[in-house]
Amino acid sequence: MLRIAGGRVYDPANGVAGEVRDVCVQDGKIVDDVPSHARRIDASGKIVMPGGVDIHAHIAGPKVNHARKMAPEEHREDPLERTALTRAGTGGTVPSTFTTGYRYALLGYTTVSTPPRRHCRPATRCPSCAIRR
Amino acid sequence: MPEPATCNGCGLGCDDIEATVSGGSIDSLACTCPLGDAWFAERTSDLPPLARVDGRETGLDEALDAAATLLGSARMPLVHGLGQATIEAQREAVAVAEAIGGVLDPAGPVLDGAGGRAIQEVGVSTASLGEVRDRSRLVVVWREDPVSTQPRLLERLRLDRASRGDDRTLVVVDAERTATAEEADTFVELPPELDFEALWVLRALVTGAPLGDAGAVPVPAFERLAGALRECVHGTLMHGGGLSAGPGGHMRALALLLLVRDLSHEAHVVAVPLRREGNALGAEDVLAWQTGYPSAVSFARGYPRSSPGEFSAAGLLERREADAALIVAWDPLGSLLPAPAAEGLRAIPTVVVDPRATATAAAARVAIAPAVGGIHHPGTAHRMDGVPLPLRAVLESARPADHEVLAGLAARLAPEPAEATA
Repeated sequence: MLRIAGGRVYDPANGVAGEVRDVCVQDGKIVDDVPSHARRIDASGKIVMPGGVDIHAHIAGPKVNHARKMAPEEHREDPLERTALTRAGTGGTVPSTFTTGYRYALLGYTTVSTPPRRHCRPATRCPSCAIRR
Repeated sequence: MPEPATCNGCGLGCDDIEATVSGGSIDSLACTCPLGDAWFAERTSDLPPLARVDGRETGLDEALDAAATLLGSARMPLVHGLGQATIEAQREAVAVAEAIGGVLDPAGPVLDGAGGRAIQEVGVSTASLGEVRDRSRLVVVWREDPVSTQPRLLERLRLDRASRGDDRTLVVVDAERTATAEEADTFVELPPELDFEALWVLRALVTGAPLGDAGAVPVPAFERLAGALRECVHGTLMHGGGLSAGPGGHMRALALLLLVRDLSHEAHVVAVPLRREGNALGAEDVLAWQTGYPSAVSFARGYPRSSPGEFSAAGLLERREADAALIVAWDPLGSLLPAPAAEGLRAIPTVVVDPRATATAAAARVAIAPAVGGIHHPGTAHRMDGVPLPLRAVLESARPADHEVLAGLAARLAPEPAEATA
């Protein structure tokens, strides 16, 4: 059980637009209230909102990875040290994958999707892939 | 009923292979080349024991515990190879290198690392094999004999004499008349020590810069080649590992990419590297997406740093700086390392994860032979033009996959989250 207390809540789907209030969570669901002994997070002065979802990102495709190989000096200037919970990486215009995920999380995103690449089989005999592959 | 299969025997990644399977083994293969036949045969017959420690057969857990102890206590452990491992295994290998604060170099400057470094400096205009096949009217193969090293390349690109039309031209630049040169319209004989000078001469001829003293470079042949490159509708420079191998390889690769950049003002010409290892490009890609750098990465400070030369596998071994090594799907002692580096590798304890019985595995303190991606379990590989290919399982195996073995090693080396936060 969790009480996120005193934050400015934005929840467009439920018509909540900047109201300062508590958000209570029990068994993974938002509920009206939780007992006073529930874990409490003080969110005063902060925004409380649903996790962002980026349905079409470019984090792991071949082309963005090609860009990632460019400009190594940017990576050198922005290293991310390994911690007990997070992997090491680098930043720059195209950060490494773990770093990208951590920075998305800092922005409030909980879900990021790179569209999967379509595979034909066997590619060498697929007319629709004649140019691309 | 034949099973569809993908060959990972060279960088070409032929995914039109048909494997006829019965009784748990491959009866026959269709559409393979001699290299492909050898790749499947080497990984399906006379497999070494699953796990050995100091030459003694053990269970997998004991071998992984011994490997974790060995690598976890090293001062500068090296993770090397990966050119024939799956993408999934390569990801786990990066996790291992990070957990032990080691150095990861997929191949080193003696092979492909120099090419990746050159790409970092000037970029590259490149294309998929499909585009080369369907659009390139002029293909130049520089310092490689794909008839031997990527045997189906000419067939796949419709560049063999039988299927090449009159409107397409194949040029080979090499030190001797190779089998590929025999298939070519034009062969330019060039000793390897003149690669850089010849590429610089080509740049001058393409841009109209003063030529000056061209030394021993056969200028008339390159004048004709420069003219053809400037006038072609779509051209491709395919360069082999020989161009970037050895001292100065980075500068030769750089010269070729600069030539392609010069040509971009005149024509649509692209560069495509010819890779001998099935997933060498995948190793560079995985390392790049997890660290930002394609080769020679050190995690010693807790974050990735790349310094080709300083952290290249061959250099670390030659200078005796590495004190333990994890070798994945690679046989550097077989013939791939220069002799001084091979001596350095023999002098340190090693962990080898490779399905084959290799010279490197025979010399290892811990040797683990997992199932093979593309034969016993599915996986992913990156073809030499960067196209990801799914690898399919055609046989069953009780052995764990290469990525499962490396994940087990990484789990032993990295603290569990609960432990980490305690």
